Amino acid sequence: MKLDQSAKSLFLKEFAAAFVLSLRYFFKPKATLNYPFEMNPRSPRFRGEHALRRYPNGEERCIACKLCEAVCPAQAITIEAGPRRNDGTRRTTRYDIDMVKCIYCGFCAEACPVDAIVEGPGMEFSVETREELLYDKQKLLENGERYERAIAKNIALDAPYR
Amino acid sequence: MTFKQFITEFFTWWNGQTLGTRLTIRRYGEFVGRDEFGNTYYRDKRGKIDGYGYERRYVVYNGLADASRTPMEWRMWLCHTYPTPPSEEDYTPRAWQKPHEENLTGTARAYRPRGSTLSEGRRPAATGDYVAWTPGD
Repeated sequence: MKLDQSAKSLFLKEFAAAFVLSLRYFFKPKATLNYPFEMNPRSPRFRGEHALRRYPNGEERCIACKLCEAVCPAQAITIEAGPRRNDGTRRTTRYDIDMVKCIYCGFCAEACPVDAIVEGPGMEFSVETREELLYDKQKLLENGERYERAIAKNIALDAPYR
Repeated sequence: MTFKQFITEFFTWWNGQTLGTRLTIRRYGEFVGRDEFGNTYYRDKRGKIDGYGYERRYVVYNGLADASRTPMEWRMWLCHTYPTPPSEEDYTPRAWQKPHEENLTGTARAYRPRGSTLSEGRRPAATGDYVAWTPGD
């Protein structure tokens, strides 16, 4: 027993074993990614930054039914429905999402009957001040205008599984 | 490669690409496309080498290396959601669609909600489905 221990410390057995282990991982493919230049795989169902979509003719989809506001478990959505416009359609006058409260569960997108609110593929929207995360309707519509191509493609890719 | 380029790529990681990325792409990269902002995209010639079952895809930024600077459809190609790059599809954006914009936080053009002290314009008045709290009650 004592001889065993002495031999171990004399020949640095643990040290050698650890060295062999680290050498083995040195030659294995790396699990890390060179992030801004490479990115990890992502599902088309990814729930990221919110966006309000428009119909192909440019009309906004949201009809102010407030289902997303009702279903939101974090109560991050605030909607006010305004008086009907001249063309007789019902629209929101205010659509605020508090992105600090939001837990990115995707229930708002699931609840929406017209596919207006979606959780888009965007992820890099970290900001320096808190108020920049209090999204209003204009910002959400703008997100939809910028990301529409990717959003539409993601929905099409996910459609066979729904 | 100029001397200045070498210095910035050797010592910094926010200028377009790092020296390691440049060497990897020169050796194994295959040019895939270029987006409207001048960022270029590459895939690895060796195919699936990672042991994860997907090929490696690279982006070289035109300027600051910030992931929010790639247009969203290229971004989705980079993270392996789409098998084909957007440059190989014919897509005509509708009139109301806007070009991609990077994350502008920390700049003067950053998003501010209406009613912020840093932005012009007043917050729209509430429509009256709640009563505002007044101090002193």
